[in-house]
Amino acid sequence: MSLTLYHYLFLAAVLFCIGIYGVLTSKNAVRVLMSLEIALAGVSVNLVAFSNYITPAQLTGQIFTIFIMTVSAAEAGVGLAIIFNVFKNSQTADMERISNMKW
Amino acid sequence: MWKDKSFLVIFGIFVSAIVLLLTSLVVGSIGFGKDLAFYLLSGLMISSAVGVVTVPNLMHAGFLLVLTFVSTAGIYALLNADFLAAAQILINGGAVTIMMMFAVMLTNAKNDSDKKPYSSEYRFVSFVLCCFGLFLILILRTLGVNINLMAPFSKNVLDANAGGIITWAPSIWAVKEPVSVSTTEIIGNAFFDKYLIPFEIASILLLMALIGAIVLALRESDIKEDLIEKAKVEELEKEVSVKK
Repeated sequence: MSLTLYHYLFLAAVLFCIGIYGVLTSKNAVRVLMSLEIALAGVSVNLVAFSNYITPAQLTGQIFTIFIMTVSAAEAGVGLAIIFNVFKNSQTADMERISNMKW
Repeated sequence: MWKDKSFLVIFGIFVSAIVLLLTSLVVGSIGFGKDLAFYLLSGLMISSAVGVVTVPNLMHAGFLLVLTFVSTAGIYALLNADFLAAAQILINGGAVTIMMMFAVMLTNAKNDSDKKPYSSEYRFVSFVLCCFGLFLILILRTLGVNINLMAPFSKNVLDANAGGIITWAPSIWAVKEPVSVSTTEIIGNAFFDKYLIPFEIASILLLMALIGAIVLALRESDIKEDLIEKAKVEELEKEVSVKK
Protein backbone atom coordinates (compact mmCIF):
# COMPACT_ATOMS: atom_id res chain seq x y z
CA MET A 1 0.00 0.00 0.00
CA SER A 2 1.56 3.20 -1.12
CA LEU A 3 1.37 6.50 0.67
CA THR A 4 -1.60 8.63 -0.17
CA LEU A 5 -2.49 12.25 0.52
CA TYR A 6 -4.68 11.13 3.42
CA HIS A 7 -1.71 9.83 5.38
CA TYR A 8 -0.13 13.26 5.35
CA LEU A 9 -3.41 15.03 6.11
CA PHE A 10 -3.93 12.71 9.09
CA LEU A 11 -0.42 13.45 10.37
CA ALA A 12 -1.02 17.17 9.98
CA ALA A 13 -4.31 16.96 11.87
CA VAL A 14 -2.64 15.08 14.73
CA LEU A 15 0.15 17.67 14.94
CA PHE A 16 -2.25 20.59 14.85
CA CYS A 17 -4.37 19.10 17.64
CA ILE A 18 -1.29 18.45 19.79
CA GLY A 19 -0.28 22.07 19.29
CA ILE A 20 -3.71 23.41 20.22
CA TYR A 21 -3.78 21.16 23.29
CA GLY A 22 -0.40 22.55 24.33
CA VAL A 23 -1.57 26.13 23.87
CA LEU A 24 -4.60 25.42 26.03
CA THR A 25 -2.90 23.58 28.86
CA SER A 26 0.59 25.02 29.31
CA LYS A 27 1.22 27.60 31.98
CA ASN A 28 4.60 28.89 30.91
CA ALA A 29 4.41 31.50 28.18
CA VAL A 30 7.47 30.11 26.37
CA ARG A 31 5.84 26.70 26.15
CA VAL A 32 2.75 28.33 24.67
CA LEU A 33 4.95 29.70 21.89
CA MET A 34 6.52 26.25 21.37
CA SER A 35 3.08 24.66 21.04
CA LEU A 36 2.12 27.34 18.55
CA GLU A 37 5.17 26.42 16.49
CA ILE A 38 4.04 22.78 16.50
CA ALA A 39 0.59 23.77 15.25
CA LEU A 40 2.20 25.83 12.48
CA ALA A 41 4.37 22.84 11.54
CA GLY A 42 1.20 20.79 11.16
CA VAL A 43 -0.30 23.39 8.85
CA SER A 44 2.93 23.44 6.82
CA VAL A 45 2.89 19.65 6.41
CA ASN A 46 -0.67 19.96 5.13
CA LEU A 47 0.30 22.59 2.57
CA VAL A 48 3.38 20.72 1.35
CA ALA A 49 1.37 17.52 0.96
CA PHE A 50 -1.26 19.30 -1.13
CA SER A 51 1.49 20.93 -3.16
CA ASN A 52 3.09 17.57 -3.87
CA TYR A 53 -0.05 15.70 -4.80
CA ILE A 54 -2.19 18.35 -6.53
CA THR A 55 0.12 20.98 -8.04
CA PRO A 56 3.42 19.15 -8.41
CA ALA A 57 4.66 21.52 -11.12
CA GLN A 58 3.75 24.96 -9.74
CA LEU A 59 4.69 24.26 -6.07
CA THR A 60 2.09 26.71 -4.76
CA GLY A 61 1.89 25.04 -1.36
CA GLN A 62 5.65 25.13 -0.88
CA ILE A 63 5.72 28.88 -1.52
CA PHE A 64 2.91 29.35 1.00
CA THR A 65 4.94 27.28 3.45
CA ILE A 66 7.89 29.62 3.05
CA PHE A 67 5.59 32.52 3.91
CA ILE A 68 4.34 30.59 6.95
CA MET A 69 7.96 30.11 8.05
CA THR A 70 8.59 33.84 7.70
CA VAL A 71 5.55 34.74 9.74
CA SER A 72 6.31 32.15 12.42
CA ALA A 73 9.88 33.39 12.78
CA ALA A 74 8.67 36.98 13.12
CA GLU A 75 6.01 35.90 15.58
CA ALA A 76 8.53 34.00 17.69
CA GLY A 77 10.87 37.01 17.82
CA VAL A 78 8.22 39.54 18.81
CA GLY A 79 6.49 37.11 21.18
CA LEU A 80 9.70 36.32 23.02
CA ALA A 81 10.52 40.03 23.31
CA ILE A 82 7.08 40.58 24.85
CA ILE A 83 7.67 37.69 27.25
CA PHE A 84 11.01 39.23 28.30
CA ASN A 85 9.29 42.51 29.01
CA VAL A 86 6.50 40.86 31.00
CA PHE A 87 9.09 38.90 32.93
CA LYS A 88 11.03 42.07 33.70
CA ASN A 89 7.92 43.78 34.99
CA SER A 90 6.30 41.00 36.97
CA GLN A 91 9.19 38.53 37.59
CA THR A 92 7.19 35.65 36.18
CA ALA A 93 6.38 34.00 32.86
CA ASP A 94 3.40 32.15 34.29
CA MET A 95 0.27 32.68 32.24
CA GLU A 96 -1.93 32.47 35.34
CA ARG A 97 -0.01 35.04 37.34
CA ILE A 98 0.24 37.67 34.62
CA SER A 99 -3.00 39.33 35.57
CA ASN A 100 -2.17 43.02 35.24
CA MET A 101 -4.12 43.39 32.04
CA LYS A 102 -7.03 41.23 33.09
CA TRP A 103 -10.23 43.00 32.26
CA MET B 1 24.52 19.14 33.43
CA TRP B 2 25.93 15.75 32.47
CA LYS B 3 25.13 14.26 35.85
CA ASP B 4 21.46 14.88 35.25
CA LYS B 5 20.20 11.48 34.14
CA SER B 6 17.01 12.73 32.54
CA PHE B 7 19.08 14.98 30.34
CA LEU B 8 21.22 12.01 29.33
CA VAL B 9 18.13 10.01 28.49
CA ILE B 10 16.74 12.83 26.36
CA PHE B 11 20.10 13.27 24.65
CA GLY B 12 20.32 9.55 23.90
CA ILE B 13 16.82 9.56 22.45
CA PHE B 14 17.79 12.58 20.38
CA VAL B 15 20.94 11.04 18.91
CA SER B 16 19.30 7.69 18.20
CA ALA B 17 16.34 9.45 16.63
CA ILE B 18 18.58 11.42 14.31
CA VAL B 19 20.42 8.25 13.30
CA LEU B 20 17.06 6.58 12.70
CA LEU B 21 15.89 9.56 10.68
CA LEU B 22 18.94 9.61 8.44
CA THR B 23 18.75 5.87 7.82
CA SER B 24 15.06 6.11 7.05
CA LEU B 25 15.68 8.93 4.60
CA VAL B 26 18.45 6.99 2.90
CA VAL B 27 16.23 3.92 2.70
CA GLY B 28 13.39 6.05 1.38
CA SER B 29 15.55 7.68 -1.27
CA ILE B 30 16.76 4.34 -2.55
CA GLY B 31 13.23 3.70 -3.66
CA PHE B 32 11.88 0.96 -1.47
CA GLY B 33 10.56 1.66 1.95
CA LYS B 34 9.10 5.13 1.53
CA ASP B 35 6.27 3.85 3.69
CA LEU B 36 8.74 2.77 6.34
CA ALA B 37 10.37 6.21 6.27
CA PHE B 38 6.99 7.90 6.57
CA TYR B 39 5.87 5.83 9.53
CA LEU B 40 9.20 6.19 11.34
CA LEU B 41 9.26 9.94 10.79
CA SER B 42 5.66 10.51 11.73
CA GLY B 43 5.96 8.38 14.85
CA LEU B 44 9.07 10.32 15.84
CA MET B 45 7.34 13.60 15.10
CA ILE B 46 4.13 12.86 17.02
CA SER B 47 5.94 11.43 20.04
CA SER B 48 8.34 14.36 20.25
CA ALA B 49 5.49 16.83 19.83
CA VAL B 50 3.65 15.15 22.70
CA GLY B 51 6.90 15.41 24.62
CA VAL B 52 7.13 19.16 23.97
CA VAL B 53 3.65 19.60 25.37
CA THR B 54 3.97 17.34 28.41
CA VAL B 55 7.62 17.17 29.60
CA PRO B 56 7.95 19.14 32.86
CA ASN B 57 11.45 20.50 32.17
CA LEU B 58 11.31 23.33 29.66
CA MET B 59 14.84 22.80 28.35
CA HIS B 60 13.98 19.22 27.45
CA ALA B 61 10.88 20.55 25.73
CA GLY B 62 13.14 22.80 23.66
CA PHE B 63 15.35 19.87 22.62
CA LEU B 64 12.28 17.86 21.69
CA LEU B 65 11.05 20.83 19.67
CA VAL B 66 14.27 20.63 17.62
CA LEU B 67 13.54 16.95 17.08
CA THR B 68 10.00 17.73 15.94
CA PHE B 69 11.27 20.24 13.41
CA VAL B 70 13.98 17.92 12.10
CA SER B 71 11.48 15.13 11.55
CA THR B 72 9.16 17.64 9.87
CA ALA B 73 12.05 18.35 7.52
CA GLY B 74 12.25 14.61 6.86
CA ILE B 75 8.55 14.58 5.95
CA TYR B 76 9.19 17.49 3.56
CA ALA B 77 12.02 15.54 1.98
CA LEU B 78 9.64 12.62 1.47
CA LEU B 79 7.25 15.03 -0.23
CA ASN B 80 9.91 16.10 -2.78
CA ALA B 81 10.41 19.50 -1.12
CA ASP B 82 14.18 19.54 -0.79
CA PHE B 83 14.59 23.31 -0.46
CA LEU B 84 11.91 23.45 2.21
CA ALA B 85 13.52 20.63 4.16
CA ALA B 86 16.83 22.51 4.30
CA ALA B 87 15.08 25.77 5.18
CA GLN B 88 13.07 24.05 7.90
CA ILE B 89 16.21 22.69 9.56
CA LEU B 90 18.02 26.02 9.26
CA ILE B 91 15.25 28.40 10.29
CA ASN B 92 12.94 26.49 12.61
CA GLY B 93 15.26 23.79 13.87
CA GLY B 94 18.11 26.22 14.34
CA ALA B 95 17.19 29.83 14.84
CA VAL B 96 13.69 29.72 16.30
CA THR B 97 14.43 26.98 18.82
CA ILE B 98 17.68 28.66 19.89
CA MET B 99 15.63 31.76 20.59
CA MET B 100 13.16 29.66 22.58
CA MET B 101 16.01 28.18 24.62
CA PHE B 102 17.36 31.65 25.35
CA ALA B 103 13.90 32.69 26.48
CA VAL B 104 13.67 29.64 28.74
CA MET B 105 17.06 30.35 30.28
CA LEU B 106 16.42 34.06 30.73
CA THR B 107 12.96 33.70 32.25
CA ASN B 108 13.64 30.67 34.40
CA ALA B 109 12.86 32.12 37.78
CA LYS B 110 12.67 29.77 40.71
CA ASN B 111 9.11 30.66 41.53
CA ASP B 112 7.60 29.81 38.19
CA SER B 113 7.67 26.65 36.13
CA ASP B 114 5.27 24.04 34.96
CA LYS B 115 5.63 22.19 38.23
CA LYS B 116 2.14 23.22 39.17
CA PRO B 117 0.11 22.54 36.04
CA TYR B 118 -3.53 23.29 35.58
CA SER B 119 -6.06 21.14 37.38
CA SER B 120 -6.69 17.70 35.95
CA GLU B 121 -10.31 18.58 35.17
CA TYR B 122 -9.24 21.50 33.00
CA ARG B 123 -6.66 19.40 31.21
CA PHE B 124 -9.19 16.60 30.69
CA VAL B 125 -11.73 19.02 29.21
CA SER B 126 -9.20 20.53 26.82
CA PHE B 127 -7.98 17.04 25.87
CA VAL B 128 -11.52 16.00 25.03
CA LEU B 129 -12.07 19.24 23.10
CA CYS B 130 -8.92 18.69 21.04
CA CYS B 131 -9.32 14.97 20.40
CA PHE B 132 -13.04 14.59 19.96
CA GLY B 133 -13.90 18.05 18.73
CA LEU B 134 -11.18 19.58 16.62
CA PHE B 135 -9.50 16.34 15.58
CA LEU B 136 -12.77 14.68 14.63
CA ILE B 137 -13.82 17.69 12.56
CA LEU B 138 -10.47 17.74 10.77
CA ILE B 139 -10.54 14.01 10.05
CA LEU B 140 -14.14 14.00 8.87
CA ARG B 141 -13.39 16.94 6.62
CA THR B 142 -10.36 15.12 5.27
CA LEU B 143 -12.37 12.01 4.52
CA GLY B 144 -14.94 14.02 2.59
CA VAL B 145 -17.76 14.51 5.07
CA ASN B 146 -18.66 18.17 4.90
CA ILE B 147 -20.09 19.33 8.18
CA ASN B 148 -21.95 22.51 7.36
CA LEU B 149 -22.09 24.29 10.69
CA MET B 150 -23.84 27.28 9.17
CA ALA B 151 -26.70 25.25 7.70
CA PRO B 152 -29.33 26.17 10.34
CA PHE B 153 -28.55 29.87 9.85
CA SER B 154 -28.32 30.08 6.08
CA LYS B 155 -31.31 31.24 4.08
CA ASN B 156 -29.96 29.87 0.85
CA VAL B 157 -31.94 26.80 -0.21
CA LEU B 158 -28.94 25.09 -1.70
CA ASP B 159 -27.01 25.38 1.53
CA ALA B 160 -29.82 24.39 3.83
CA ASN B 161 -31.07 21.30 2.04
CA ALA B 162 -28.92 18.77 3.84
CA GLY B 163 -29.73 19.75 7.37
CA GLY B 164 -26.16 19.87 8.52
CA ILE B 165 -24.17 17.05 6.98
CA ILE B 166 -23.31 16.82 3.31
CA THR B 167 -21.24 14.01 1.90
CA TRP B 168 -19.54 14.42 -1.39
CA ALA B 169 -16.83 12.64 -3.26
CA PRO B 170 -13.58 14.56 -3.03
CA SER B 171 -12.76 14.24 -6.70
CA ILE B 172 -10.30 17.12 -6.64
CA TRP B 173 -8.29 15.26 -4.02
CA ALA B 174 -7.74 12.32 -6.30
CA VAL B 175 -4.18 11.39 -5.62
CA LYS B 176 -1.68 11.81 -8.40
CA GLU B 177 1.74 10.35 -8.39
CA PRO B 178 4.28 12.73 -6.92
CA VAL B 179 6.72 14.18 -9.40
CA SER B 180 10.32 14.44 -8.41
CA VAL B 181 11.70 17.81 -9.48
CA SER B 182 14.35 20.18 -8.24
CA THR B 183 12.27 22.74 -6.41
CA THR B 184 14.76 25.51 -5.71
CA GLU B 185 14.74 26.95 -9.21
CA ILE B 186 10.95 26.88 -9.48
CA ILE B 187 10.53 28.54 -6.08
CA GLY B 188 13.05 31.26 -6.93
CA ASN B 189 11.39 31.98 -10.26
CA ALA B 190 7.96 32.10 -8.62
CA PHE B 191 9.17 34.52 -5.95
CA PHE B 192 10.37 37.05 -8.48
CA ASP B 193 7.59 36.52 -10.96
CA LYS B 194 4.16 35.63 -9.64
CA TYR B 195 4.60 36.15 -5.92
CA LEU B 196 6.70 39.31 -6.01
CA ILE B 197 4.37 41.47 -3.92
CA PRO B 198 3.82 38.87 -1.17
CA PHE B 199 7.59 38.39 -1.11
CA GLU B 200 8.16 42.12 -0.57
CA ILE B 201 5.45 42.22 2.08
CA ALA B 202 7.11 39.30 3.86
CA SER B 203 10.43 41.14 3.84
CA ILE B 204 8.77 44.24 5.27
CA LEU B 205 7.16 42.05 7.93
CA LEU B 206 10.56 40.64 8.87
CA LEU B 207 12.02 44.15 9.11
CA MET B 208 9.11 45.23 11.31
CA ALA B 209 9.56 42.20 13.55
CA LEU B 210 13.29 42.92 13.85
CA ILE B 211 12.80 46.54 14.85
CA GLY B 212 9.85 45.67 17.08
CA ALA B 213 11.76 42.98 18.93
CA ILE B 214 14.72 45.32 19.52
CA VAL B 215 12.46 48.12 20.75
CA LEU B 216 10.52 45.78 23.02
CA ALA B 217 13.59 44.08 24.45
CA LEU B 218 15.51 47.30 25.14
CA ARG B 219 14.96 48.59 28.62
CA GLU B 220 13.34 51.99 28.77
CA SER B 221 15.85 53.07 31.41
CA ASP B 222 18.68 52.30 28.97
CA ILE B 223 17.20 54.63 26.39
CA LYS B 224 16.66 57.32 29.03
CA GLU B 225 20.21 56.99 30.32
CA ASP B 226 21.53 57.28 26.82
CA LEU B 227 19.50 60.41 26.21
CA ILE B 228 20.64 61.96 29.51
CA GLU B 229 24.26 61.22 28.72
CA LYS B 230 23.91 62.73 25.29
CA ALA B 231 22.35 65.85 26.78
CA LYS B 232 25.17 66.10 29.30
CA VAL B 233 27.80 65.76 26.58
CA GLU B 234 26.09 68.43 24.51
CA GLU B 235 25.96 70.79 27.49
CA LEU B 236 29.65 70.23 28.16
CA GLU B 237 30.49 70.92 24.55
CA LYS B 238 28.46 74.12 24.66
CA GLU B 239 30.26 75.24 27.81
CA VAL B 240 33.60 74.52 26.20
CA SER B 241 32.69 76.48 23.10
CA VAL B 242 31.41 79.40 25.17
CA LYS B 243 34.65 79.48 27.15
CA LYS B 244 36.63 79.51 23.96
